[in-house]
Amino acid sequence: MCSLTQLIHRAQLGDAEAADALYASTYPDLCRLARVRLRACSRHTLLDTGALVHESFVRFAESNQLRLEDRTHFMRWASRVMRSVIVDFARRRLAVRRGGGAARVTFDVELAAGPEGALEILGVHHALGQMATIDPRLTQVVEMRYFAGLTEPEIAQALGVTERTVRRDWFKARLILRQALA
Amino acid sequence: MLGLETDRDDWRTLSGLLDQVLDLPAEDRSAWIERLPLQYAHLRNRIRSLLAAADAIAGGGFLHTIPKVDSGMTPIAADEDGLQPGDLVGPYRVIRKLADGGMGAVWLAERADGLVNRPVALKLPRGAWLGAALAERMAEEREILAALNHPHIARLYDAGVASDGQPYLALEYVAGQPIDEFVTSRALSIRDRLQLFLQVTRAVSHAHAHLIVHRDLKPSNILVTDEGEVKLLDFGIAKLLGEGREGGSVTQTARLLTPDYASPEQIAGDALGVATDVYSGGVLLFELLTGVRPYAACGSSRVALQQAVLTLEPPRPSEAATRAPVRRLLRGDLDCIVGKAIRKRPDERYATIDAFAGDIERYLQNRPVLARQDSKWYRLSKGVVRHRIAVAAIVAVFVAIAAGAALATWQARVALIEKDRAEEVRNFLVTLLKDTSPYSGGGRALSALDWLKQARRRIDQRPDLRPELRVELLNLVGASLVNMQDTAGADEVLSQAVAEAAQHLGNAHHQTLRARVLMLSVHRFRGRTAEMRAELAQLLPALRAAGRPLSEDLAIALKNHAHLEIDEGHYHEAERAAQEAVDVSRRELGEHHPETVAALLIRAYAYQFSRDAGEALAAAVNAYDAARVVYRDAPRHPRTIEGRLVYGRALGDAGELTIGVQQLTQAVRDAAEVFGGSSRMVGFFSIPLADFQAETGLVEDAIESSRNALAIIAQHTRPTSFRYAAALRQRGVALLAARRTEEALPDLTAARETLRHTLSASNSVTRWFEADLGLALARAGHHHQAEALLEPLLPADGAAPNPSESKALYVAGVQKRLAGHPAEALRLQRRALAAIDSGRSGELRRMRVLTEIGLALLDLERPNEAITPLEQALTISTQSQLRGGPDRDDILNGLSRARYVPDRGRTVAVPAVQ
Repeated sequence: MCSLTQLIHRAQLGDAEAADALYASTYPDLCRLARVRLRACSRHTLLDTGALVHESFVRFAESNQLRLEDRTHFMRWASRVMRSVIVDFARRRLAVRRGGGAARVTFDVELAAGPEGALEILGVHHALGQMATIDPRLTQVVEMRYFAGLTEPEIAQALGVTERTVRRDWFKARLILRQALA
Repeated sequence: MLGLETDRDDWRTLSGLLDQVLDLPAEDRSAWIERLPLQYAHLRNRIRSLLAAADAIAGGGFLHTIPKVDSGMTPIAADEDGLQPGDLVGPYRVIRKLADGGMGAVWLAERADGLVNRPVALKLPRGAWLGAALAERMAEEREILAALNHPHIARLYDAGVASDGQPYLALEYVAGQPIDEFVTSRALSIRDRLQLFLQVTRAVSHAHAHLIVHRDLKPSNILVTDEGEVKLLDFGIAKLLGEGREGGSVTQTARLLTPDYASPEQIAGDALGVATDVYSGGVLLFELLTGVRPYAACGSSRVALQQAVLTLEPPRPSEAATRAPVRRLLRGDLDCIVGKAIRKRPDERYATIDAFAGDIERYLQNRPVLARQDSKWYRLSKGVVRHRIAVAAIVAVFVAIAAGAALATWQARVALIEKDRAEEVRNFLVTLLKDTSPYSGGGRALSALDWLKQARRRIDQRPDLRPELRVELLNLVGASLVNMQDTAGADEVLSQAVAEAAQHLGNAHHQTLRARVLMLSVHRFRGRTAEMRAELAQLLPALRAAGRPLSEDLAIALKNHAHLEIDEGHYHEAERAAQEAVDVSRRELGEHHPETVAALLIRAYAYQFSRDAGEALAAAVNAYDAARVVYRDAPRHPRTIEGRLVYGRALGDAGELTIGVQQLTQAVRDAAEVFGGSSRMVGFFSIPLADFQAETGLVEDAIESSRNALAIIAQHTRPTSFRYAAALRQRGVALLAARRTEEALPDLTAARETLRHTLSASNSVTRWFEADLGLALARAGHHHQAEALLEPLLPADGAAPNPSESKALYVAGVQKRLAGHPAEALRLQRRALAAIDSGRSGELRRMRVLTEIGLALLDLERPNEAITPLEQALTISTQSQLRGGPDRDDILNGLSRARYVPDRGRTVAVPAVQ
């Protein structure tokens, strides 16, 4: 029963409801995967989001909720979800600092250095929110590159453009973001 | 934040420029920026500052990938917010956590600024926040939800998004027990439980009046305070969070609901409405009265429950209750009431929550309960559906009873139905006949038509019936056939009705008048305009004189009158007729009467010709909403489809072409599904659809739609009728828009001929058609003919042109330019432009005139002057979401010509925009 396939297809056509439902199914999965991955490694993990997204797809495909042909579409949606997961992490990271509950924090050099990472993530997230109405494709490229860690060929395939376009988009996006985050 | 305040178009320009400059080697960039033409001057600094970062980025390192995310020492569960008591979320300070569900947490909170001293329940949705534009939805819905002010509804005080992106909903904090626990823990009597339930219905009714359906009524959402006050929670929150939105909710979403309270349509993913809340209310009442849920016996597996809701008949409350005294009390009326609320099919339940509450109140007052008599008809009609032949027999019964004829064979049945029910029987017949439409029978259009034909045959077979009754029944059948788009059938039946009425009842009898009024639509559909006018001239005064009893007929007649006037181009008369129809319907029939909706629709349609786009759009929104409210349980009712059509056209006229086309396309689709792909309605709707498609540059689609329209309309009307001419013209216009001029000519010629015969030569619609023809002739190079045709259409010098005159100015301008007289063309276009600016907004018309001005200036070898109008035209085309097409090509080609700068034999490529 490829219900997720239908959802992706409808979400693609702009059905906001299908998008929400799709979101609701994939978010917990990716979140869980991310957590497991984080726990497995020691404290500072470069979160390999690309691998996570792929792994998530494989799981859905194995449980017959997605067909292999849906991979490309799934990547676009998973990137959005991944963005949400990362941003949530970043927010919580800041909240932990804000709340200041002593028992939770270990005094670690990196921690004491400040939550720049989390702030950068949130900054990009906010900038993307504004960018979305102005240039949706650019926003997607950033989502897929920055948050979901997909490669340029993968992004090109998912969006139906050339790799050169992806590279150029990514470049332009960073020009803007650099100013935005300054 | 940096100019991400730029709007879309500015960015597109900027993006395009960036693409170009980034392609250049670094050392050439400065010079290139310097040489940017004037219209990009304001962007020079932006480009420079953006490029300043280019080197740093090219070197890599900036935003290469997401930074390291410290997992922290505590395991962060997917459902932890990391919030602590005392933290701030938006303007609120959280105090303690009240609950934590899958979709988010709820905290007790208060305003941090101490402005208002009251506790709120702060709901923090989780995860869904990056779903489709939650912030925008909140802004939309907040107004509506905040207006929901009722003692039994927990207020939504505030909704917003905190600075870190966390959305929050501030709700009235209610301390109470869920209603099921409340009634059990206090062992309330049946009456008390019913009274409590009535509080719930009042709250739901209030929300329905505001067009908000709860969709998730269940005990945990209904709290009761210690004082016995009911408070409904989470009203409209489901909609705000996008769960199961109206119309086609997804199975996935339905899975999130507990199936115990979900209605069959929610589980099946069908359209939701008021009846959905009635259902959930019924289940709730079942549980409050019996202590168990209707499908409790089916086990607890989700799938089993869903299946049960969809297919199994639930037990009666009296059967499900466990204690004997309770069973005794529930048997009978309460069984029926609950049963009627939880029917599988929405149209078999109480139509409104008020009706539901009404029956409960009747029960409490020991008055007869409507659900009981309904159950008799319910059983009857269930039997009827199973055997189609039997339907005719039932009709005969009703007819016999209504006629008071006590035929021997029917005596037994007559005895069953008490004498004072005869009136109700007749009313039942009336409703049964009048509301037979495809959508309410779940797509059984065919059988309903057959049913009507049977009914009609039965009437024929009973010449002994009173003439008045015969005519009344024929009128009913005829009206139903009109509703169901069977024009030929309606023509037959109503002609018969008119004939019999005139013969037996006389001209002044109200059934005679009614028959003639109903015939008006048939005349109109068939193109018999002369007859229609004659009838109207006689009918309208008679109906007005008759007063209240014939208000509905007057409204229908006025509606037809308005339609006729629109067809013939007398737009102010149309508006007057429509306005009178609205006034009469509102006054005599009420705001929510179907005829009032019809009147609002025709008025909105008239406004599209007689008023400017803003007013027309407002009227269209009004009418469409009215249709959706009155027909909220039938999203594909013909009137709703009509409303969508009017709305779509109004949107298009107001410049929102893309949405307009979407709405029109949907309307055509709905009409095709409900009435069949070759039904009259589809034909009619395809005409404005083709029109807008042509306007937006979707020329191929326009040709397709107009071909379709013509084919369908040819089946329904004579080739000499106005309708046919309109369809012909539309195809011609579509072909012309695609610049297939030779093919367009015959269509436009024929259309114009028909109009000259059916209307007068001086009629504004005729002139409009002639202007179309003139344009075709000009493009085809038949300049003499074109000039001869256009000359009389032009306004006198100095006179303010009306719409058809300004169109003629434009066409004449094109003709002059194509014939090689650019100065003359320029003069004409400038007049046309002035006319458009001061009249009803028509951005695309402006665009075309501006294009022509530019092209004329180019022909006059003044390219620098040509740039401005051409660029203005380009801006309009982009803003109007034009998707390519010959008009846009004209602009772009014109701009290229204008910008060609002969400079030492080399063309300097100045950035072309998009």
